[in-house]
Amino acid sequence: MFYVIILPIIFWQSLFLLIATTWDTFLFYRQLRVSRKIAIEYARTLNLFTLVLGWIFFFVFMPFFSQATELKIISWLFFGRPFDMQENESQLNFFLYFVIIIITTTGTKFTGMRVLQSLLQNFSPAGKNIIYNKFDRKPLFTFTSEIFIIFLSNVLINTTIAALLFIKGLYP
Amino acid sequence: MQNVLDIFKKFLDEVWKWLEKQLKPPMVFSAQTLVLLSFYSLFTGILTTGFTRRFIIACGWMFFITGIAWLMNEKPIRINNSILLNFWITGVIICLFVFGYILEDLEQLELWVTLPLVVMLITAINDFTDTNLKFYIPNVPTRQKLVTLLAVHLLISCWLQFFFAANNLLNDYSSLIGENFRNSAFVIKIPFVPNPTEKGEIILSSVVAPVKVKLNNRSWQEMEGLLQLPDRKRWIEDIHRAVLGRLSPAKENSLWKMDTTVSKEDWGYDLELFSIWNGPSSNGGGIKFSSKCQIKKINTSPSEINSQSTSKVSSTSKMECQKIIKTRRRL
Repeated sequence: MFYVIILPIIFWQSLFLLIATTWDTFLFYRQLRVSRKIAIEYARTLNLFTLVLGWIFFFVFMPFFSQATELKIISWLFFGRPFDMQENESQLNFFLYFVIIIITTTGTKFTGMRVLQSLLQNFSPAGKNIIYNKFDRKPLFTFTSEIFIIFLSNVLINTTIAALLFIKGLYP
Repeated sequence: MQNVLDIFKKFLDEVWKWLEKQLKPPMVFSAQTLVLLSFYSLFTGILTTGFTRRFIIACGWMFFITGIAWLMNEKPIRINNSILLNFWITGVIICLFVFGYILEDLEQLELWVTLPLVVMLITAINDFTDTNLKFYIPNVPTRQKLVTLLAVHLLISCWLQFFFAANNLLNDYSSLIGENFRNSAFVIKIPFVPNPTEKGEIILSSVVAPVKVKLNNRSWQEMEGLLQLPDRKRWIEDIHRAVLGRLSPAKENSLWKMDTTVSKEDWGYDLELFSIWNGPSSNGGGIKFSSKCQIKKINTSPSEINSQSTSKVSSTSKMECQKIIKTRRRL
């Protein structure tokens, strides 16, 4: 028997995907100096795969959760509130999740980027595929290593999403 | 009479010509041939039995799938001239064949999670082969398109799986179905789907009945003894456990707890029974079902007293309960 549909999560994930793709595209284009088209395609694909891996991780580990963890997840899924959790514990958890998400997504995206590079062979940062002219914008800062750019982008993405969630919490 | 027969024959002739024109494939090796072959296999299959029947009909399905895929390749179906539906239609037919005919398990809707992946596979086959069905590695833009498409289709599969997972959770914890999901960023309720009877109400009404049997028609002193703590807690907990054991096993059963309060009144005692939900709820405070019972003293002659009673008393107990009320505990 079906009681719920998942339209809200489709809406929110599409929005988060848009935010993530925008930040990634911007930083890939400006810092890694690849063409706009390639920056958009890589950003889109990497974020989609990160999302998919997140879901797969959730589905694989869901049967192994204890009932206490399951109830906490249920409370978040259906009521958008913590269950059986202390105030300071929830703040600590929020910070912990923030750090864990940034580190794991950075690792996933970096690995994904390497796989895509070997699969498509059209992505070479600051390579010869673009001819820079005097109108080209210079990188925003001197660090241009791929992993650092992905990390920075993830910090920006998750901060934007956290801010959005905070605003949503203020006006439910 | 001859005239009528002539007209009928002419009519049949026309119908046959029309049918022939409609069904005759433009060439032998064509999509129409495959579709016709599938119908022929179906009719042949019906005439046979056992393994031969299954095999011939399976061949019919495969002719049909190939024929339809070919037909749609020639005349693509699009929504608003942009979204191509060909692969989705073929994917649905393939899934119907695999789930319905081979696995004979069309009712298990979870299998449909694989539909987007089947669609992706057909798309990939289309892009990895040329018109002569020869394998080749596509160019970089096509590879990029395929990788993105794969990710999108995987995400759709994940969403489908989440739809089933969320509904399975609700089936496991059916007490949550009646709750308000307004604050959820994940799901919304399907409108007009009736909520099942509240589990707490079922538990409490199942507990009230044996409690009544236990306390009714007892000698007053005996009844007062049963209401004393910790004795009361023990036997009510026993009844509660027995009731949960009789219910269909569910993960949420362990989250229902029982509680009671007793207060002395002019007419006897007020016994309030609570069935308390200790799981998550929309207001965070939990749900409580309660039933208030009045235990009154009734004076009777010693001969009418319950046979279990040994002492000679002149009053017995009579218990009456009000209907069950649902309340929410505030945080």
